[in-house]
Amino acid sequence: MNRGRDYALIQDCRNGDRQALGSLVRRYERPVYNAAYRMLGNPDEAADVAQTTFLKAFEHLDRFNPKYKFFSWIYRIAVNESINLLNRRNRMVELGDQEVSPARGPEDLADCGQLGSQVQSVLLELTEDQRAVIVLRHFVECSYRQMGQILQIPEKTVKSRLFSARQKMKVLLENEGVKR
Amino acid sequence: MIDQKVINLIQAGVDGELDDAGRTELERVLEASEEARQCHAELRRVAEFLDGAEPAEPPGDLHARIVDGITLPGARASRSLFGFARFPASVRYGLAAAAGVVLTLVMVGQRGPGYDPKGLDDMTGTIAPRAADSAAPALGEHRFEVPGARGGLLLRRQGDDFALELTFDADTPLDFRIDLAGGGLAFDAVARASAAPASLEWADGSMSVSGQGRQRLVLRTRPATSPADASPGVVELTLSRGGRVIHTGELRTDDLLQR
Repeated sequence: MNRGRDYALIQDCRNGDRQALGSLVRRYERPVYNAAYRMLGNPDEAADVAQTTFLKAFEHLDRFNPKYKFFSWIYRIAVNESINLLNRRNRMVELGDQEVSPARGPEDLADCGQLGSQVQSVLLELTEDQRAVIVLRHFVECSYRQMGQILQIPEKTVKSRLFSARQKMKVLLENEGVKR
Repeated sequence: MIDQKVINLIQAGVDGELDDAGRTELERVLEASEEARQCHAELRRVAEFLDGAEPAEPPGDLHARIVDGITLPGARASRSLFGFARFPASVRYGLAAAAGVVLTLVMVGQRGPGYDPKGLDDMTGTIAPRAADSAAPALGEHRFEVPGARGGLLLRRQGDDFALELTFDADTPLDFRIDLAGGGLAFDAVARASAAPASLEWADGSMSVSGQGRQRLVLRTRPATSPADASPGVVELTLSRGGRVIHTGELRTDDLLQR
């Protein structure tokens, strides 16, 4: 994640350079999609969130502070968008509707192979906060510091949340008989 | 029971967040405590399980979806023509309203003698300005009559241009193809359509029209400027029903366009 290169591309985007836009999107579309997919467990919703994430980021490009990293900003939007979508989904279920977008279906999970399916299945048992730290650590490969910046929580909280998420996963894996 | 500080140390070791001193400290803790070793093993197992999952593959059109949906600030700024954005909103709205009034007055002043309601009776769509094409004499005509349908293709002069008129009355859906390229003509606009055709497509010098019932379509054409198409020759008409060609005809233009 080259901060200088990102900033140069952002400057070009601010001048209307669509090629720079393409490069910047290409750089982050995959991890942003993956983060959303692991948060939501649904490929269509993940694609929607990825699209919304970039749209919002570029809509407010003038607000981007170069003191911070572009990827922290964009992952924060992605995580927040995913959580918002999960909340909307939960509200719909509470209202008595059928779940509009099933969190996981066999065909969705099959896309990621057997292990990917097991991972997704376990992830979806975590709380949203726990899932966010796991996703950022293992699927976006963020450091504790970066995770703190993205989620806007102290590093201490990142560590404790990560530990409790892993403890819960350990139990879930044991219950599901998943061995590594 | 291991304390939080040790848990943090173990977890930081699993996540690769320790410096040399931290790694030495972790080794010492693991060597001294069975409970710490067990915690380390459990955390590492979970981490390895997660890291073993392949990244999900985004849909193939995601990049295009994202990029196509974004308007860059430069592009937005270009909408602010003449730098009007620097004025307060009230001034901008006032200028816009004044421009609207001026434009309306100009348009009212410029408009012709007015539309003849009778001339619009059979019109459902007009792209090009109305012209007095029907009054001009026909330069050439091709008539056809097939089971369940009859009509014709007719060419008239219209100033420096030409109007190509297709009329038909068909009991069942028909598909027409008019090839202009060989006739030294190029399509300019749809001047009239007396009823909405089921479909109307234009590509590579040919027009495809599908329709049923009584219809009249006037195409405004002009002499082709492309060297390959510029020589007068033949406008071809192909009539099909259900994918089967039931009639072909032509309208010779080689001497018509010289008149």
